[in-house]
Amino acid sequence: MKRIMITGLGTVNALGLDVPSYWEAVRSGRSAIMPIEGFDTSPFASRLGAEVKGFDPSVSFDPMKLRRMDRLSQMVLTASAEALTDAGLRGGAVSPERMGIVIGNGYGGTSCTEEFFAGLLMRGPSGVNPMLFPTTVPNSAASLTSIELKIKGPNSTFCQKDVSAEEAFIYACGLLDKGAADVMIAGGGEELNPVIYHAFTALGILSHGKGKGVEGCFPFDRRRNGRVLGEGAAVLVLETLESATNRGAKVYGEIAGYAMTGGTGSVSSYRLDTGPMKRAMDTALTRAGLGTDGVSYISAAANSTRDLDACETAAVKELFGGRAGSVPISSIRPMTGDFEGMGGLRLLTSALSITHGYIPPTLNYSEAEPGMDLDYVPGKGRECTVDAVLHNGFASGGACTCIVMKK
Amino acid sequence: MCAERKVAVVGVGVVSALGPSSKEFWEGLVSGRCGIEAVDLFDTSAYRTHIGAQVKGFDPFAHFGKKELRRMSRCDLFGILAAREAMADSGLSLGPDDLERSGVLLGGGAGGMLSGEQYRRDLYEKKIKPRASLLIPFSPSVTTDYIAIEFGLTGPRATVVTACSSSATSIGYAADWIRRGDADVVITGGSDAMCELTYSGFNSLRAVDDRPCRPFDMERKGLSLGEGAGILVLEEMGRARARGAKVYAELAGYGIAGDAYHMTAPEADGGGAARTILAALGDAGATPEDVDYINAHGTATRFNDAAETAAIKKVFGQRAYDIPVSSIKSMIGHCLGAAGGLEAAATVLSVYHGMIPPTINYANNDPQCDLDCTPNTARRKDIRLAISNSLAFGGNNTTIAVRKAV
Repeated sequence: MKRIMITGLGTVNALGLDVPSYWEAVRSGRSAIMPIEGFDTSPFASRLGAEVKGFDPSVSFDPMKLRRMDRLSQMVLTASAEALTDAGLRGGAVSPERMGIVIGNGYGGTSCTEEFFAGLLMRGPSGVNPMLFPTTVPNSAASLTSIELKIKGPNSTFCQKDVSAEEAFIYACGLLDKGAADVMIAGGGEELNPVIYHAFTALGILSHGKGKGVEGCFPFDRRRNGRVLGEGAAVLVLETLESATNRGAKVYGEIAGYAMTGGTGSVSSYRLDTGPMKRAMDTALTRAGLGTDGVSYISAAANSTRDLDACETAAVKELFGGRAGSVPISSIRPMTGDFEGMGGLRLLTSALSITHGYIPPTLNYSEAEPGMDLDYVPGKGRECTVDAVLHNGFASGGACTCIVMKK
Repeated sequence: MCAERKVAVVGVGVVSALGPSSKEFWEGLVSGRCGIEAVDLFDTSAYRTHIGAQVKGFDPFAHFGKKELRRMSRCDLFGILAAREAMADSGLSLGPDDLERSGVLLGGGAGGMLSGEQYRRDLYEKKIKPRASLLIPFSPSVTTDYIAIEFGLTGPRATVVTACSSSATSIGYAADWIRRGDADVVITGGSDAMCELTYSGFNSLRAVDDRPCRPFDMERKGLSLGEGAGILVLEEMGRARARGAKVYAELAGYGIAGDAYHMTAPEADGGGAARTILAALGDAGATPEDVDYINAHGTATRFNDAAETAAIKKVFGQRAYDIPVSSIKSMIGHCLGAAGGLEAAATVLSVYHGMIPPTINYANNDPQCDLDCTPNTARRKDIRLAISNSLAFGGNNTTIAVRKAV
C-alpha cells in the first residue's frame, strides 16, 4: 500500500467562501442555517437552509465560461483552484497527465437541469436550450473543473446519496495506490435549489415544524426530526508520499485506512443495520493499523434524522464497547447545513482538526435521548491534540463508508 | 496490488432493444439485427427524430409486484432483471461470509429521470399532486441499492455517474476491488432508461440521426439513443476455478483519463482516448500487439468516430488496420449510462465465442474512419485480448481490457 498524504484544501460553503474564513467560522461556533432567501419556501413544511451567499467566481474566472456552468460546477472549480494553490500545484510541479479529479455529488447541477426541463415543459422540444444540456449530467462539476484547470489524468464522479464524496475520495485513494496518478483532487459538493428542496420535502426527509416538531438541525438530540439542507463544495488534494516528499509539500495529514460495506434494508431509509456500519469502521481501523483506543475523534455521519443518529450511536457503542463514552463524536451539520456531497467538507474539516488540534462541536445539542449517551461535544468545540480521526459516512439505501485520517 | 488475484467474468445479464436476455442480445448482435425503431415510450411527434433503441415487448408485471413497481423506475427494472440473469448464469450461491465479501458497483446515467419527468408533468402541467414515490429513484444509486438488497450483498457498494463512460468505469473499478482483495464477487455494469431529458437534449444538439445510426460511415449524421442494462458478475479467478464455474473471460484491466478539452467535443487528435487505451493495456499487463478486437465507442457522430479512429491509430500505428473494430451502437443504440456495461457484455461474449459482432448500417467509406469496422456481417476470429472504449461528455474516457480465459 502506498502512503497517501493530504497536501491541499479548498472550499466554498455557507460558513465561508474559502478555507481560512470557513475555519474561523467553525472556531467561533457560528451557524449558517437560517430561513432560506434564495427561493420561496412557503409551499413547503420547512423553511430553513444554509445558503452560500456573496459567492462571485467571476473574480477568479472568465465570466463567459462561468455562464456555461451550473452553480455546483462553479463552487467545485473555485474550491479546486484554492486547493491546488494551497498545495503549490498551480505552477506545473506535477504534469497534468499525472493529476486527476474525482468528485461526489448526489444530483449534480440540478438548477441547470431544471431550467432545461422548464423549456421542454413550457415550449416543447424546440424550446430547450442546447447550451444547458451538457451541464445536466452529474459529472459536469468534475469535468468542467478538469477542463478549466487542465487536469488530464483520471476523471470521475460518484453519486451515492450521502456518501457520494466519501466514495469519490476512496476511489481517488485507490487510483493513487495503483499508480494511475500522483496527485488527485477529491471531494464533493451540492447546490441548494427549490427542486432538491421540494423533492426532499415530498419524500419527508427534511426537518419541519409540523405538530410538536421543532425545525432545525439537531444531530443526536431528542428533538431531531430530519435534515436541514445546505450547499457548498470542498476538495482535498491527495498525493502519494513520494510525490509530496519530492517536491517538499506541506502535509495536513495522512489517509491511513478506508473501507466500504453495505446494508440491505430499504432503498430509501436511514434505518441501517449496525453490522455493516461496524464492519466499515473496524476494517478501516485495521487497515490503518489502529485499535479503537487510537481514535481521538469521530466525525459523525449523523444527519439529524431519527434513524441514522440512533443507528450510528448504537454501532459506535457496539464497536468501542466500554470506551465508547470517552471518544468525542460530533457533527458539523448544525453549522454548515447538510448536503449529499458534503463528505468532502467533513474530511476537509477533519484535516484542519488534526492540523490545528481542535474538535468542532455539535451545535444545538442540548436534550439527550435515553440510550444515546456518547460524548457529542455539545455546543462548544475543544482544543486538544487530534492524532487520528475516524470519519463515518452512511447513506440512505445502505452504503457505508469509513475513512481513517491521521497526523 | 496483489498480482496473483485475477478477475473472472462468470455471469452475463442483458436487457436491450434486441430482447430482455443475454441470449437474444448475442444472437441479435451476431446476426446483425437492428433494434432501432419507432419510439413509443413518450410522444416524439414534436421532435426532429422519432426513433430509438427502445426495450419493447417485456412485461414488468411478469417480474415484479404492483406495489414494488410503484416505487421503481424503468432503469431499476432493467438493472434488476439483468442482475438476476447474470447471477443465475454465474451459478453462485453465497453463504453469510460470502455476502460480506460481495459488492455492487454500477454505472448510472439518467436513471429515474423518466419517473422524475412524470412528477414534473403532474405538478406543472396537470396541476395534480404527484406521487412522492416517483422521486425515490431520483438518485442514480437507487438501482445499485436495489440489486444489493435483492441478493443480500453487504460488501462494498458504489455508483459511478460520468455520462456515457459510467458503467465502463464501474466495471474497471469493480475488477480493482477484487484484485485488491476488497471483495471476492462484484455485480457490476450499468442500467439506463430513455427519457425526454436525454432525447430532447441530444436532439437539440443536433447530434441524433433521423435514420438508425451509421457508425464510421461517410454519411453518418449522429447517434441513435437506446436503453437497457448490461450486467456482469465478476469473481476472483481462483475462487471461480475452484468451484468449477464457467469463466467467460478475464477482466484484465482498465484505463481512465480525462481530455480536459471540451464538454461535448472530443480532442480531434484523439489524444485523451489514446492515453486511456494505453493505460488500460498497461493495467492489463498487455501491449498493443496483444489486441485482436476493439469494441468501439462509435457513437456515429462526425466528431467521435473520427477522433476515436485517430486515437486507435495513435496507439496501434500501422497495425490499427489489421484489428477489427466494431460499434454495436448500430444495433442497440447509445445506451448512455448503460453503454459501457452493454458493450462490456458484448466484448466478453465476443472473446468467449471467438466471434466479432458487426457494425451494421454501413455503406460508404469515410477516409477519416478508414479502419476495418467489420461492416454489416459478423466475423469468426480467435481473440486473445479485446478492448472496449467509452468516451463521455466532459472528456471522461474509460477503456476496459478483456482477455481470453486460459
